[in-house]
Amino acid sequence: MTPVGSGGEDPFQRHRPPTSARAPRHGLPPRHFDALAAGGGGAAVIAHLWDAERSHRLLLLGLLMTMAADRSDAIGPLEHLDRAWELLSEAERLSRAVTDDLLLLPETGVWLQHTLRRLREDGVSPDEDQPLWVDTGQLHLIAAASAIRTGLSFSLRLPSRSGTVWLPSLGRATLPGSAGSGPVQADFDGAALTLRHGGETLHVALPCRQAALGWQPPTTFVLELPEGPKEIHLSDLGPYRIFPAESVAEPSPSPGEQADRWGELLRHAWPLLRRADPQAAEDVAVCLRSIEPLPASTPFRWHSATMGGGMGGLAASEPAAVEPAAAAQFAAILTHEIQHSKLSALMHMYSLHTQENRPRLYAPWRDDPRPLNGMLHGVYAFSAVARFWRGYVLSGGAPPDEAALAQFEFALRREQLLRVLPPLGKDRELTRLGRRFLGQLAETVSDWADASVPKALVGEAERVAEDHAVSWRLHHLAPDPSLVAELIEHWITGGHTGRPFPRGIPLQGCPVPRLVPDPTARNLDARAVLTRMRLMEPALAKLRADPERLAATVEGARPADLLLVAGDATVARELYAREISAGPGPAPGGGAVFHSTAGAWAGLRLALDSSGGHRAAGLALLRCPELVRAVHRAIGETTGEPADPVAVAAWVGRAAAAPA
Amino acid sequence: MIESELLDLTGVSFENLRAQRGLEWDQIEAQLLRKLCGSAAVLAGDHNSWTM
Repeated sequence: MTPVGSGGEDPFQRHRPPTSARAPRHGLPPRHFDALAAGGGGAAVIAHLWDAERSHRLLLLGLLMTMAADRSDAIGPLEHLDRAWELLSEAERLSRAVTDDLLLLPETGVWLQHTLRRLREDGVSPDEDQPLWVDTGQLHLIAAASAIRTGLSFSLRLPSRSGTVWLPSLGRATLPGSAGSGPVQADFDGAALTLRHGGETLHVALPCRQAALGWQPPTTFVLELPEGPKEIHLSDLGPYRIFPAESVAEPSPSPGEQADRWGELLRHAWPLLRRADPQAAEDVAVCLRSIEPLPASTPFRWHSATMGGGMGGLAASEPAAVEPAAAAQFAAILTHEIQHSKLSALMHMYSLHTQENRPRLYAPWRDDPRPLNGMLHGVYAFSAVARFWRGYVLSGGAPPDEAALAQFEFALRREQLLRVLPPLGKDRELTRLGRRFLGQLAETVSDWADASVPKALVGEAERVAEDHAVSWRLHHLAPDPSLVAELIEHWITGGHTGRPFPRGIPLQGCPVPRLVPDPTARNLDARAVLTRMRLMEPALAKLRADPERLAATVEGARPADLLLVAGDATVARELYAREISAGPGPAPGGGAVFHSTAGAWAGLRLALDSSGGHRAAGLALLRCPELVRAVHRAIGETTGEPADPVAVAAWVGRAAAAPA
Repeated sequence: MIESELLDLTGVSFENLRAQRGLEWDQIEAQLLRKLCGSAAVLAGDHNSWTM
């Protein structure tokens, strides 16, 4: 871990007594800010972030002490929080490195965020299944772990959950004969810990890095770094996770095998990252502290997440046994999630935008509209993903069967970033520093024209990016109702015979459509996943041979999607048109039931594009698909006869192409 | 140096943290809490299409 509190001097000598002067603030040299904004950082810059993160955690801890001080439900059957604080202070006098290590654990940040919210909500969280003191008592557990690691004897009541006591960084004790939450008497004599509860006793000689009866140490992995090995924890035992386990006592079905799989994945992914993007590897090395395992996902839909308050921690699903290019994909996840950590820490220092946080923006990697904060995180994280794939291509590290995928991933992420960065940089809710941040990032992305990607794959990436944008519009934008009414009237009174709309519609969709978020929007990347499978053949060929597996393998994919991606645009077009005419329901050709025809409309556009000769319809479905769909639907409702979707699209497209 | 909004507690220990508190802290803490509760806690789903 990066040491905090830089320099060899005694950090306590730098303690400033309270004065009337304005308290000092953290800062970054402009070149360091710009290095981070450009997507990089490096060990020295991230050391600043860790220093700042320590201050942030201390502030939050002080805030927690203040908010909990007068609440009896925050103490419960434990000793007062002041007693835990005293123990923590005593341990800190013996080793600040130990107490800082515990303070800066990702789970400590997650705990602070969770507990402060709970304290602020003032007991109005009916969903909380634990009394408040079990959450505030995490301070007692951190203090106990600090004392044990510094060899400091103590006697303290600790909170238990589901019959277990989690001592951060040390391990989890399971108490005999106990299943609920309650106070546990802990006594440490400098060598052994004794836990007593309800007449039962558990002794643990510490440190204990081997599993024993009633004791489970955390799984650790070692990253081999030039400066020495670094331990990464598997975060699967403690209660404060990015995705809390339903029951912390629930054992992993086969913890040893799970740990082996993660260890192997890291061993394979780490050298790839170092070779493809040494800068990112350096950032991961100084940032990453723990990986929280999530259930395995389906191919090319690797789940991963970070929590704003938990710098250095990430959650990721285990790869399925058949995950293509698993090590490279995981390397991309590592750098993606560490970008979130870096940006979260930077945002603890600086406001890059106002407090406005309405989900209103298009993110090419999401199903839903995003707030500005989420957009900043998205562009920052995906810039690292693009940079990794670019490096994987340029370094020649990709094996032949992964080369096309790597080129496609780079081209796709670059294309997506180039679409959203220019408008994002002009967002009125950005602060001056926010604009500076995005300006630096945009410069980085615009410099990436050098990686040679075959033209066909660049075209594939553009189609996939367009497809997502069209699908997103269909889900979340509603056209101007008066324009829809006007178009329907003209359709009924002659448009259906080919009579053109009497005026041109501005290409960007008329009066600007309104954002009406569709909470059911899911799996907008289904055709992108199938495209990746085609690039990693025989993955798609296997699916074509056994199409019954489609719904389970690529959630949200239609049989028409499989045909389209495999090259049969004609049949795919027929299936999409049938689905549109039938309305929401089961997809033609079998498989899943869909709540919306949005995916079929977007697929129809691609099928028309592939078969050629449908310029006007394609234009309308690209520029204002939500208008075409609304007009088509309203014609059906008005006349009782479903119109041909391609004919309606072409008619709207001709109006869009005419002079306004 | 680009000065941040975050108090620099580099030399501050657990022991003396609470002695540091003053009027200025109240404002800073209130702002911290607003930020903490207003922000999206989990940055999930920015990879592929996982929506929470």
